[in-house]
Amino acid sequence: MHTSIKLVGLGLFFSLSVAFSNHKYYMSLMQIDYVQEQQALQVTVRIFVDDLQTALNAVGTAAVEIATDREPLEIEKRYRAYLNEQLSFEVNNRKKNFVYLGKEYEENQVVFYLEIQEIDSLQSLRIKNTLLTHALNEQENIVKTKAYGKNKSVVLTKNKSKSLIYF
Amino acid sequence: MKKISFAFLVLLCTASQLILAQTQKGHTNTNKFKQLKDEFATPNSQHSASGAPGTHYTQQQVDYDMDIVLDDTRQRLSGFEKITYHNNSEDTLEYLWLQLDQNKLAKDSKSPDIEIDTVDPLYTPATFAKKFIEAPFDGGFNIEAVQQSNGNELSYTINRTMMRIDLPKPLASGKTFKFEIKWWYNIIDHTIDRTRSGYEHFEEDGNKLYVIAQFFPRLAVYDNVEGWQNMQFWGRSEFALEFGDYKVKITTPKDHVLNATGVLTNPKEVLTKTQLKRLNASKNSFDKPVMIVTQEEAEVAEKSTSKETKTWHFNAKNVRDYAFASSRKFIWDAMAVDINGTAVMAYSLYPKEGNPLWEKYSTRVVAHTLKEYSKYTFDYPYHKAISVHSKNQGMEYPQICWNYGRPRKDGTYSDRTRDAMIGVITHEIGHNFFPMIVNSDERQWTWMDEGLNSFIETLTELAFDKDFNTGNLPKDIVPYMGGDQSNIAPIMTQGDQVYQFGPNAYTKPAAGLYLLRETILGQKLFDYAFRTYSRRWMFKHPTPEDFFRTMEDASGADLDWFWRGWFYTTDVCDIAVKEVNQFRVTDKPTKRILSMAKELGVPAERIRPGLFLTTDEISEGEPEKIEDIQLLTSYLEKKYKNKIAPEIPSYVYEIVFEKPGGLVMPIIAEITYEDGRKKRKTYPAQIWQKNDREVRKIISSTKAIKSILIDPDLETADVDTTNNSWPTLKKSVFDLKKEGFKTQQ
Repeated sequence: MHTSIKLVGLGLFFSLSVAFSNHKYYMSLMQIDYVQEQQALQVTVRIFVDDLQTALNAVGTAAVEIATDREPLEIEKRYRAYLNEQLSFEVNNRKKNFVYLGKEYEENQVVFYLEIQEIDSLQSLRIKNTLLTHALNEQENIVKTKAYGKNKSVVLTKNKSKSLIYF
Repeated sequence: MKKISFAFLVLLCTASQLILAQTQKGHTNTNKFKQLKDEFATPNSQHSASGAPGTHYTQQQVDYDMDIVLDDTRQRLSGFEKITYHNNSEDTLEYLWLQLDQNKLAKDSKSPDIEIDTVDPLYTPATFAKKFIEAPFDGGFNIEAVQQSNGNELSYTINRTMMRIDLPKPLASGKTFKFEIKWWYNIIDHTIDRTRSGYEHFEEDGNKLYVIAQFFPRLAVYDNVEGWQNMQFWGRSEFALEFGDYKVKITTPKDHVLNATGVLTNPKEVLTKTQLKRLNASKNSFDKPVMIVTQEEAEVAEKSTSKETKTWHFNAKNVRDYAFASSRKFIWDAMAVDINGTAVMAYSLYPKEGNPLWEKYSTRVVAHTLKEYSKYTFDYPYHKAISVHSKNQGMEYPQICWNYGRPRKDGTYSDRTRDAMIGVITHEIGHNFFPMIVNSDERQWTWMDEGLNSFIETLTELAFDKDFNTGNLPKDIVPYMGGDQSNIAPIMTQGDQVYQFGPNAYTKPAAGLYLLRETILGQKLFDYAFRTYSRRWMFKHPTPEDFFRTMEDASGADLDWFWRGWFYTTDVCDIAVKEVNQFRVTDKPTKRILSMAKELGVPAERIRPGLFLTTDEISEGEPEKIEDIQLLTSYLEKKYKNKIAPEIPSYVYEIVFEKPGGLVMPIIAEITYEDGRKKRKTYPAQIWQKNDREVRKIISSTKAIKSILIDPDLETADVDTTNNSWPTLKKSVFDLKKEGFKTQQ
């Protein structure tokens, strides 16, 4: 059997079944680095293209294809909106907005580059990440942070979409 | 230097006396290179220490003679099978166990009961009705008779997906037992319930496309590893099956096109004259597929429904299972493949919904796969391999498999759809080698067929297109291996207990074997050993130890450390450059040596002349360059009197590598010199044998080192590459990308 962990159709998951899948993970990876010299939190988010497409089509009105020759021209707008809906950050107990720097496609993944600016010190970071979990039950959003030379990581899921990290 | 050596000895003695002052606690060998004597099963006369089948290796054989009827109007399959069981073991058997896979879909199946439910954010009316309103599908086997050939009923007991038949008298070694089973079951829509076997319904023309497998009660494996392999079929961990010969008759509607495991023995009765003529032509077409049933013909066929039937006859020799596909919608193309002088047929069956993608790629990918796999294993021994179009699954059976890849309604398709289709066909056709021929126990070890197959699939895809995104390379497994440990299981875990099935049983073993081939053993040693394993266990039942042992036995490498780390643990690879210290060479005793001498009461002038590596500041009267040290130059002059002396290095560095990760791995260091030239040095994994945390290497060069990068080609699945460079990169990847985005705007 060719891989067995893919959800097809909204809200339906068959963990004991075969499926259409080009990749074998339900996973996104968010790397957050605190760069003191730049007073910034640098955020990189990696998501599988087909999963993101499934998720966008679950919330949007018009179905889209992404990373193909049929990708709509205004896709960046849709990405920004989606990330703003699904991600939020509180730095040192204050809500902070992020700047969307850009995205690139890397093989079958899309990589987003975001930045939270004007952070002169980092004591705590509250992250809410509901990327894809609304459409994919088994989605795991791994969040890795690096600040003051220390690494911390958490895994966010449909049932646990928020985490508070102290530094 | 004698005096100094003595001094070291004194120091060591003092230190160990200090330690001895406390009572010591001992420990067992926890070295990462410890042999796997505790983990491996003891070799025996069936599974030998070399990893080959032993001198007393035996295997049961089961032959089937079946009469099958596909009822297209009621979606029902019925069969009558005569089974001949050959007890080749040295044991006497009191009962036989058979697998009833269809019972996983029975109303009282416990498979849904062990699924952990979550509330979905949104239900479509169909998914809501299925989950909360409608009765479960009425599936599962209806067993109508279990009897001996003389009609005498046999006593049997069904334990969910397993059936025990109590033998009228014990079956001695070397004897055979013949019996018969009559059964039927309702066929499920596999596109909704996501099962491996079933039909797809096409709304537009009202027809069905059947992919039928696991459709008959079949014998479980009996061997000296598991006894009877009768673990329940929960739906995920696949099959353990015996080889045997099959004679199968399948009755379908007259307008169906069917293909199946085995040689079609009555082609004149079931194919038209035109089809036969085209089929014969395809046997000589080695460069492109020949259409046996065209799209136009298939489109005509799907417009009507025949009330008549026809019966297809097949003979299959030495196969471990049986499957078939049937529909009036099928287009059929075929081409011949030259496997070392023997012509093998590559077939594809697909409805018009698969075109134009399928006519363009499917059969060609089948042909390419058979050729490539034959290179790495053995010549494909069967006469054909068939790729059948299936909406959304990839699944393998002997000589036949189902594959996804459907274009959009308008016939266009994205590169992703195309590549996914090429990938799945390569994978499922590849399963003909693992586990259809190298017949491991899938119920126990998913990785033994999925992992090995995904590995050869990767090599095959890269041969098809060197830039193909296989998803199975060491770099691809990093997100999984570097993820949350509570959600990761070692590869050596029974399939049903595995978390994250895909990365665990497919990608990680494939990436590991790729790493072993490309980075650790080298292609030549690896390929010889892998081929040895494949050939030793063709048409037999290998265990994990048989694989691990053969790979070592045939390559001459002790790989226990690799199997231990990669297959038995969830450890990760993380190797870092901790620091780089530059030394200068002097002939003047350094502070370090002077203080050592002083401590031991050795006067400075009695220190024997020598060369010293130091970071002390240069002092008055010291030679500035290494070439000025007479002690060295005069030695070299004398030694190389009439020969060309080697160049004296001007730079000496100490590199400290540390290993935050639990896995041991070779250190691949790429050194860039001041003039931009690069040199690569690989230190074998065994460098970590005596120190699992930190190791030092001292290297000299005639040029200054500008930078050092570990694992530049991402070969080792290093989960943290931010510590792989010296000096630490000033501009991170993020900074560079940010600049890039700015210039774009």
